[in-house]
Amino acid sequence: MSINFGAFVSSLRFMVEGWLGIFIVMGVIIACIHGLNKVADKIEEKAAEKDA
Amino acid sequence: MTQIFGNFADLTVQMVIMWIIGAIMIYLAIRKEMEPTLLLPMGFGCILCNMPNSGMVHTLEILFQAGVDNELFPLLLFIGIGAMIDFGPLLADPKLLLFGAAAQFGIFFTLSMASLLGFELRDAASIAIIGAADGPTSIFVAQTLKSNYTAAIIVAAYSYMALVPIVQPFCIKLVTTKEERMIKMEYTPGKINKTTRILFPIVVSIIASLVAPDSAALVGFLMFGNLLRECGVLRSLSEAAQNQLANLVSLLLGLTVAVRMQAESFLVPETLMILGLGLIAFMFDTFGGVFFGKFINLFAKKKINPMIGAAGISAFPMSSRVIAKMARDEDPYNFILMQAAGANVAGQVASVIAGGLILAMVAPLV
Repeated sequence: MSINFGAFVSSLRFMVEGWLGIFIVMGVIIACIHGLNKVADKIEEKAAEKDA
Repeated sequence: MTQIFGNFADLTVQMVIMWIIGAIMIYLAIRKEMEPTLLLPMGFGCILCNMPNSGMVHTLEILFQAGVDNELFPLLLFIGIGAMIDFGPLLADPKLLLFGAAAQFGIFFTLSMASLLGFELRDAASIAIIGAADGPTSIFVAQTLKSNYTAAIIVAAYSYMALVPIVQPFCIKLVTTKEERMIKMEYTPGKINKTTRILFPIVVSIIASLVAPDSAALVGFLMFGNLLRECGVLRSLSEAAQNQLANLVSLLLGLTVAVRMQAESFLVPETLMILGLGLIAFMFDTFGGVFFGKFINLFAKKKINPMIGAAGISAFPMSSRVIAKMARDEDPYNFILMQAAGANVAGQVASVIAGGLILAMVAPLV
């Protein structure tokens, strides 16, 4: 096992793509949660109207 | 006499060292209560697998092939973990998910460091995932990539999870001021309705499976466990997953993994390097989360306590408790447990997705 600077440089791609990738996925999930909350609120409102 | 004492001739110093390592694990599990469900069976298995001509090795090898080689045990464990998680604090404040993403920095930093030290890409990626602070994800990734150092990776992953109360406060104090640690955060819980709670695990599974197909099993089993919890009609199954299933699989996993802790393959310089890299992964996870909190504070009107960024790792609920305690130590009236718990739960999701992304990026190359 020895220092491999070439492998280090090529692995930097994973650091950028991987870390950025998680932020993108999390961003999509955040948007979905906001969407889910809106849809769920409407569903519950309709259900409450029906009950009334 | 030869039959009784013949085995002693095959005893080596390395085996005795492994007994000591096993004994330390048992000590930590019982006296310090550090991850006892895993460290106790691992420690015991480690001692028995390092007896000369041990019959235990054959038995555990069968279990290893049946449950770890095919990633069955970690996935089953994920159902139990999913059933234990309350995503409520996260659903109330979804932007906390970003802290989960930020605190995965250590994984990718460590991948580069391990590559620099000369580890093969498959091993570097498997070592890096120790930074997910998530035992089952570490096992899943290491096994999928066929790493040569699975046992050392698992030992490091679980050891550092247990060391969160020591590692994280040290790292946080290194990069924050007292004023930053004293920042108070208002908690205004949003209304979370039942439909959102039920749809959340389904939506996350679909997104993760589309983005990183390799993470489908990891995320899917975790979210299935959560769906059992939230659906409200399978209470007994949810409780069984949280208790009996999680306990049984942990027990089998701990014992089984010990078969890879045989002296000849475990007592190598690489094991020490992996333990060191695991520590780096945890430290840089913490730095990543804290610095992201500081970065947000550059623009935010309402300042956030950057310490909650450090809770964006998967060690739940230990990390959020540690952060909340640190805040109270600085100011007894500073309560940030709910925000830290939200970030911590985000870390659970992010770590699994990080595992999937690592597999998606690295698996085609090895």
